[in-house]
Amino acid sequence: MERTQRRRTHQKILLPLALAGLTISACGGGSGTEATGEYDPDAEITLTIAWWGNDERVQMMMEVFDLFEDEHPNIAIQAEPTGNPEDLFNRLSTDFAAGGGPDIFALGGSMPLEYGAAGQLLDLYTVEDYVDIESYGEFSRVDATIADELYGLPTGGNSIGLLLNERLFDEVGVPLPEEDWGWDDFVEIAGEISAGTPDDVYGLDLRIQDALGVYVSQSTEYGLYDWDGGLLASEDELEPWFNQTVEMVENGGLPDPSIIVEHHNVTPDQSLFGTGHAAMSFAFTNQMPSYTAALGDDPIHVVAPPTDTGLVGADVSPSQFWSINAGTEHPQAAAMLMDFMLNNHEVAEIIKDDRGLPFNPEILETVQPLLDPASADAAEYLLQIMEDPIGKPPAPPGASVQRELSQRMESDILFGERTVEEAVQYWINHMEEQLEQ
Amino acid sequence: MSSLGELRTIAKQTKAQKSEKRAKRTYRDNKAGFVFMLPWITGFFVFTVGPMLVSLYLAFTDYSLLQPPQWTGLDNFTRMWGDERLWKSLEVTFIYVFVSVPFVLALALAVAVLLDRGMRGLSFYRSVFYLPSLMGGSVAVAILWRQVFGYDGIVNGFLGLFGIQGPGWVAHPDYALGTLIVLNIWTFGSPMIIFLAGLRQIPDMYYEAANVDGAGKVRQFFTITLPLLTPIIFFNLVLQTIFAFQNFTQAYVVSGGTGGPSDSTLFYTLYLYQQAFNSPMQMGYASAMAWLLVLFIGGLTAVNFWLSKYWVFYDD
Repeated sequence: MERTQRRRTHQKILLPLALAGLTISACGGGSGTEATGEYDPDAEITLTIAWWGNDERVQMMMEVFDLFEDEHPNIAIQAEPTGNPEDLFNRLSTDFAAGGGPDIFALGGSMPLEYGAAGQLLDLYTVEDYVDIESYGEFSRVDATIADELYGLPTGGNSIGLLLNERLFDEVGVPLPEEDWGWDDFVEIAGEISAGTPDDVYGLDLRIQDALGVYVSQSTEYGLYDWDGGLLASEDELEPWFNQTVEMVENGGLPDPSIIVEHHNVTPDQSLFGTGHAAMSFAFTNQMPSYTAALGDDPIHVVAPPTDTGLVGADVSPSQFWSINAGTEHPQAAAMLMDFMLNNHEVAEIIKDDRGLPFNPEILETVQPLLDPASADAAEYLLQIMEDPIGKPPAPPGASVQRELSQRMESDILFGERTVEEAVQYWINHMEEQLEQ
Repeated sequence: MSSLGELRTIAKQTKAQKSEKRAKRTYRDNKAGFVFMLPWITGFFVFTVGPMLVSLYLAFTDYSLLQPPQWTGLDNFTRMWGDERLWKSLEVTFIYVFVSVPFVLALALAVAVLLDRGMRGLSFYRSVFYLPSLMGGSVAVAILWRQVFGYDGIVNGFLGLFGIQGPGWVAHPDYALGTLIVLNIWTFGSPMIIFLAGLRQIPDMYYEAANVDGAGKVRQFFTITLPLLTPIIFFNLVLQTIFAFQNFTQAYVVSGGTGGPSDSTLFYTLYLYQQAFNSPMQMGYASAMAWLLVLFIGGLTAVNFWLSKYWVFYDD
C-alpha cells in the first residue's frame, strides 16, 4: 500500500518534469524566424543580452539597463558580456548548436548574414511595431539583409581613415599631407619621417587588415567583393599594394618585418601608433578614443587616405549590430530593448559613439555636441564621407578569412617565403575557394 | 562403504555451497566497488567516451555548428591529403616534439642527478626547479615569453649590451618555433621530480661495490645509474612525447592565435582549433584532424613500447 503511494508521488513529480523537458526541447528545436504572440506588459520576463567590450562598456550598459528596468518593471535584464568578440562568437555558435543562446546580442562584420542565413536570427520586420527601423537608411541595413529579411540593426557607423600624429610630423618638419596626395607621396613621407626621428620611431604603423580594402576600393570602386558575393579584387590592385609595402620596408618607412608581425593583432594602446612610435596609421574611426587615451597629449588628426584615382575608397559601414535570437521566447520585449538602446535620447547621452557614430539622424544630433575633440574630428570626417557614399556591397559569407589571410601573406612576403606574385595568387585562390562555399 | 560415500557427497555439497557463497560474496564486493566508481564511470562515459564517439561521427560530416551535420563520407580525410597547411603543421609539431623532448629529458636527468647528491637546502632547490613546470603551460607565462623574446624584450636588451640588434624573436619565422622549444625545455620540472624518485630507488650497495672495485663517478653513472633508471626514462619519454604533441596554449598565446609568422608556429592542435572555431567553422574537418592526431600519438607510443624492448632494463 505504502509502496504504491510512493510510486504515485514519483509519477506526480516525473510527469511534469518530462513535459517540461519536451517543451524545452521543442523551443530549442524551433528555428522559425517568425515572431509569435503579443507582448504582455504584465508578464514577468527575463531577457538575456550578450556583447563584447571592456569594463567601461560594461558600466555603460549597466546604467542603460537600470533605466530600461525602471521604465519596464516587469522585465529583468541578465547581462552576459565577454571581453573580446571571438569569445562571444564561440559561445553563440555552441549555444545555437545546443538550441539556446541569449535573447539579444551584438554581432560584427558578416556575422548577421552568416547566422541569418543559417536561420538563427529573428527577422526584425516581424517586430517593427516595437523597434524603430525606419530611422535607419537603406545603406545601413544592407549588411544585415537577405531577401528582404533584416537580421540586425547597426549600433553606429564607422569608417577607415588615416590617423596622423601631429607632434611627430612637426618634429621632422614634414607638413601635414594636403588633400590630394598620392601613394607615392605617402611612401616618401613615411620614409622621411623614419629618417628624421629616433631609431625606434617609424613613418607608418601598417595594419593591413584596415587598409587593404580601402586601397582596392580606389580602383574597383566597390571594394573587395561584388554584389553577387564574388571576388572583385584582382592582381592589378593586390600586387601594387604588396610591392608598396616592400618598398616602405626598404626605405625605412616601415619597421623591421618582425616588428610589423609582432604588432599585427595588438590593441590600439599597444600598437606602434598608440605608443607614439609611428607617425601614421590606418584605423577605424571608432578607435579614436582608445588612441587618444593611449597617446595622451599628442594631438591626432584624421585625414582621408592617399589616392591615385580620385576615389577616397573609404566607406561608412556599420561597426556592430544588435540582433535577436530566432529562438527567443520574448521577441517583442527583446525588440523593445533594442529600440531603447538605439533610439532613446537619454541612453544616447550615456553611450555616445561607443559603438560607432549613430545612424539615426535624431540620435546623432543628440550625440554630436557631447563628443570629445578627437572623436568630434573623427565624426566630421565620417559625415564628410557619408555625403558621398560608395554603397559597397556587404562582405559576403566566407569573407571573414580575409583579415587572417592578408596578414599571413604579408608576413610571407616580408620574410621572403613567397614572392609578391605567388602570395597574391594564393590570396586570390584561397578567397575564391572560401567565397564559393 | 555407504556411510563413506555419504560423507563424500556431503563434503562435495558443502564445497559446492562454499564456492557458490564465495562467488556471491565476490559479486557483492564488486557491486560495492562499482557503486563507489559510479561518479567516475558516469563522468568517463558522459564526458569522455560520449564526446569521442560523437567526434568520430562528426569526422565523416560537414558541420558548422549552426546547421545540422551532413554526412560526407571520407571527404574530410581526402581533403587532408591536399591541405598543405596541415602538412606544414605536422612538420612544425614533429620538429617541436623531436627537438624539445630529448632536451627536456636530458636536462631533467642532469638536474635530478645533481640534486640527488644530498646538498643542503635540497627541498628549496627542488621547488625552484619544479616551479616552471607548474606555470609553464599557463597563459601568463606565454605572455611573459612574448615580452622576453619580443623586439624590445629582455633578450634583445641583453644582446644590445654587446652592440647586437636582434630581431623580434617570437615574430621571425626562423626563430619563433625555437622560442617555444626553449619554453618547453624550461618546464623540465615534472620529469625531474620523477627522475629524483627513481634515483632514490637504486640501492646503495651497487655503488659501494663499484667503489670497492675502483670505478669512478662517471663510470658508475653509465654502468649503474643509467641502466637501472631506464624504466623511468622510458616512462618520462612516453609521457613527454604525448604532452608535446598536445601543446596548444603556448603557441596560441605567443602567436596571438595565428600560428605565425608564416605558419612557423602552426602546431597541429592550433590548426585544428582554427578549423573548428575560426569562421567558417568546420567542426567536421577538425574532428577528422583530431582522430588523425590520436592515430599519430597512438602509433608513436606503440613504436616507443616496441623499441623499449631493446633498451629498457627491468631489475626484477
